[in-house]
Formats: sequence, C-alpha cells, structure tokens
Amino acid sequence: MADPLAFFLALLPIALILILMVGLRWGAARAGGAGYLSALLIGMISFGAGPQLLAYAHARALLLSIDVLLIIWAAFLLYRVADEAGAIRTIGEALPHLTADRGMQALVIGWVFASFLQGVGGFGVPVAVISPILVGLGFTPLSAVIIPSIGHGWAVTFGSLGSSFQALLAATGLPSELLAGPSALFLGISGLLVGFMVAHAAQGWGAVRRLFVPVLLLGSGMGLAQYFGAIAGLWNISAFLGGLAGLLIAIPLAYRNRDNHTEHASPAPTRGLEQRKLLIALSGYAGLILITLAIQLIPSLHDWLGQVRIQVQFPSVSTSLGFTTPSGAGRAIPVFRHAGSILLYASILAYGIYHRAGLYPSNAPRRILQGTLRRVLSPSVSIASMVSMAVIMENSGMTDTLARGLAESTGALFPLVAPWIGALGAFMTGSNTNSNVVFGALQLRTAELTGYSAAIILAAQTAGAALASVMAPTKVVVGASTAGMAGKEGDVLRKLIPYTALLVLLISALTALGIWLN
Amino acid sequence: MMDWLKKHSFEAHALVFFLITLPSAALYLAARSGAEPVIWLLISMIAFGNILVLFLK
Repeated sequence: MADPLAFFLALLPIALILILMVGLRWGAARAGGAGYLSALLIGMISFGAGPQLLAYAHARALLLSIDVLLIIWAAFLLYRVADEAGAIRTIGEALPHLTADRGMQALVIGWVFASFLQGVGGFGVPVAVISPILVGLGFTPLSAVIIPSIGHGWAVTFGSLGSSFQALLAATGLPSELLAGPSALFLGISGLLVGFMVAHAAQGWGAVRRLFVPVLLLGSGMGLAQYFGAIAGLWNISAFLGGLAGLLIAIPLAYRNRDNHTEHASPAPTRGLEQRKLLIALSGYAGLILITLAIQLIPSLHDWLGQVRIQVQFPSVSTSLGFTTPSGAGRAIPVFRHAGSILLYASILAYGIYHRAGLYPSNAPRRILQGTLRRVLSPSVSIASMVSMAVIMENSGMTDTLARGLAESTGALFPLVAPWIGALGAFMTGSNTNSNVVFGALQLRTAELTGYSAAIILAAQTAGAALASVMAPTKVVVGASTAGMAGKEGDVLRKLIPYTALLVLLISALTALGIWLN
Repeated sequence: MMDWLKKHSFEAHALVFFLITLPSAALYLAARSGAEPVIWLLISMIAFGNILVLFLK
C-alpha cells in the first residue's frame, strides 16, 4: 500500500462511526457528529484542505442533504397522514383474515405487507407495525421480530419512496438510468431468497417445501414489478409497486390456501364495511401511484414541473497536497418535480381522501405535523453531518486514498468485497441511506481504479446495505420493543446474522457473476 | 446545560440542525467573495453544532 498512515487517517472517521455506534451504542446523529469533526480535522491537518475547499465542500453537502432529506421528510409525512387516519392499521388487520395457514400468514404479512410498508414508509416502520400483528396471531415474539425484519430488507433501497437510492445518486453523481437496473435486479433476486427465509423462520424446512410455489410466484411478481418500475424511471415508487404487486398476487393465493393448516388461526371473510374501509385505506396510496405516473408519463406536465431547478456551479478546488476536485455543477434539484414534492402532493391528496371519509379526529393536522417533525429531526441531523463528512472526505482526497488502498489490497477480489462494505455501512450507521452516503463515492472511485463496472459495484453496495440494514442495532431495538422482547435484542441479532450473511453472500456471488458477464 | 439538553431534546436537535445547515449556504457566498475570516467563522458554527450533538441522547 502506497502510504499506510494516510490510509489509516482516511479510514479514521468511518472507523470512529463504527466504533461509536456498534461498540458504544451511540445514535447515528451523535456518531455522525463525531465522524464529521474527525473528517474536518484530518482533512485540514493531514490532507491539506484549505478554507476555500472546505467552504465549497459544505455547500455541496448542503445540496446533497436537501436532495435526500426532502424525500425522507415527505415520505414520513405521507406515512403519518395514513397512520393517523388508521389506514395502516386497517390494511394490517385485513390481511390475517385471508388465510389460516401459518406459513402463508408469515409470507403475506411478514414479507409482502412488510415490503409494501417499506415501499411507502420505511424508517423501521415495517417491523414496528408487523411484529405486534404476528404476536397477536400466535407467533412467538422472536419469530414475530425475525420474520418482518428479514422480509422487508430486499425493498429498502427503493423503499421509503426511494430515499436510499436517491442518496446513492447524490453521493456518486451518476444517473438513475445507469444504476436502477442492476440494483433492482440484485435486490429482486435476493427477494426470492428472502421469501424462502421467511417461510423457514415461520415453520422450518417443511414450510419452505410446502410454500415453494407461492414463494416463487410472490417473489417473481414483486421482484419484476420493482425491476420494471425502477428501469422505467419510477424508482421512487418501485418498491411500493413491488409490494403492491405482491399484495395483488397474495390475496387470491392466500384465499386458495385458506382452508389449509387451520389449527393456528380462525379466518373470517372480510365484511362489506371492512372492504369499504380497506378500499379507503388503500386509496391514499393509490393517489401516490396516479400522481407519480402522471408526472412521469405526461411530457408537458413533466416539463412544466421541472422548470424551477436549484443548481449551483462549483469552481475547481485543490488541496495543498495537489488533489483536485474539478469544477462542475452541483446536484440539480427540480423543486416541483422532486420525489419529495411528489410525495407532498400525494400526502395532501391522501389527507383530503381520509378527511372526506371522516377518519380524522379534530386535532389530526397538528398531530400529523408534530409526529412528523419529532420523527425526522434526529435522522436529519445525522444525514446532514454524515453527508458533510462524506463530501469533505471526497474533496480532500481521503476517499481517493481509501479507494486506492482498497483496490491495492483486494485487487481482483474487490467485487466480492463490495457488498460487504455496503453491509458494514448499513449495520454501523443504521440505514441503507447513510451507508450509500458514506461509501457511495468510495465504491465508485474503487471501481474506477480497479476497472470494474461502476453500475454493478454500486448495485452491490446498495443491495448489501439494504439487506444488512435490518440488522442495524437501531432497527433491532425498535422491533424487539414492539414485540415485547426489550432487553433480548441479542437473541434477535443472533438469529438474524445467518439469514443476513447468506443474503449478502448471494449479492457477492451475483456481483462476481455480473462482472464476469459484463 | 446538560440538563437542558436532556429535557429539550427536540429543541436541541432543531438548533443543531440549523447550526449545521444554515452556515453551509452562507459558505458558498463567502467562498465566492474570498472572505476567509467569514469562512472560518461559519465553519466554526457548523463544528459547534456537531460538538453540541455529541451531548444529545
């Protein structure tokens, strides 16, 4: 390795976040602050970053942060609009009535519905919502946490209305057309394995054999819907489309299996009133699909909404050691066509529908806004700090130093290592989004240095991060607490490790195959 | 101060968020005009925000 000390110093901010979050159990916001401070000091002292470079790096970071935060804020607003109206509860309550088959219940609720929730909400919501439902259906608390945890991982990158994928685009500056296909392909294939794992976690190998065909149908349907949504430019709703396709396939499929294995549950057909409630609950999300499709598919509307753009020109900057960041425009934010704005329109429409249906108490708007603000503030701080850290590292040459070190030490094995870097990032920062922010540029630079396809390496990054994000301590704590397993998070983690490791191994194999075929 | 931060976690997070983000916008203008002392002042504000967040739970 060219300069081990420089490599060590460049690694320090990332290592610090890892140690603080995993070792000392700090939250992402605090650890992000520590990572930022260390990157700032190391960049200035050891990598020769001057005031001009740092000033432009912060301005770049602000634009990237806004790009990601707009989606996170609006996605959670939509979730709160639906949750406050009882829409999430209505959908969750309707699903167990479809079948009495315990394995099928695990698939429909813990995999398909969890993926749907990840598509529209994310932020640990799938596990928090589904674990209590599964406990109520008679699953053990441990299984009730494990099943939705594994079940939603494959939908994380394109879930939360695409915030993690947006972070990958922002961190690398590459277009969605290049990255969406390979990312959705890797995640779709892993989604199929996720289905078998959910069946296994619910009832062992017997369920895997018995539910082979339903898993195949559901996995293919969800994976293909996500894939085609992503490559068609609808990546902000492609996990949502996958979850929706899964629900559309699961309902008749579960109904066919409704008389099997009746020893554990008592199915009751949904009554007329419940069906009406269910339709109203789903209509809030149908609005999101309609608005997204209208904006993507009607050229005049697409162009009109894209007229107002925030874009800043940055000059070339160099460190005193000679590392240069070329001049160029920062990330463009089309204010009225941004995925966050689309979510905002959908939230307003959903609010109108639920309000008209009389689903809100009098103080609902205040509760929705307060709930949203309280929930998004801490992640916003961590994203702002980590994005600043990542951009300072990139502009001061620290990321380049790390990438060169990685390229030299892993060599031809780098494609196998790439998903594990993403997985490590998600585990340590608690999210696929943060992992993409911290490691996106590093993976891109390493791919450039090693000569491997950037699209495949970055797909490996985000897929590894998505699948491992379910094991992040913050998510495990949320899941364990909602299933009555607070204080037993270690048991949950031990059970999740083999499933997650197998999934990331699959991504390693797919990456190697992709590179070989490319 | 630690007590205040514990009791007012929401307000403290909001303060940190604004300390991190608002000076970043001003930094672009300061860098364009080459005002080095202003750049250091704004970076110090961001660094202070990130130090403050270390004390938040």
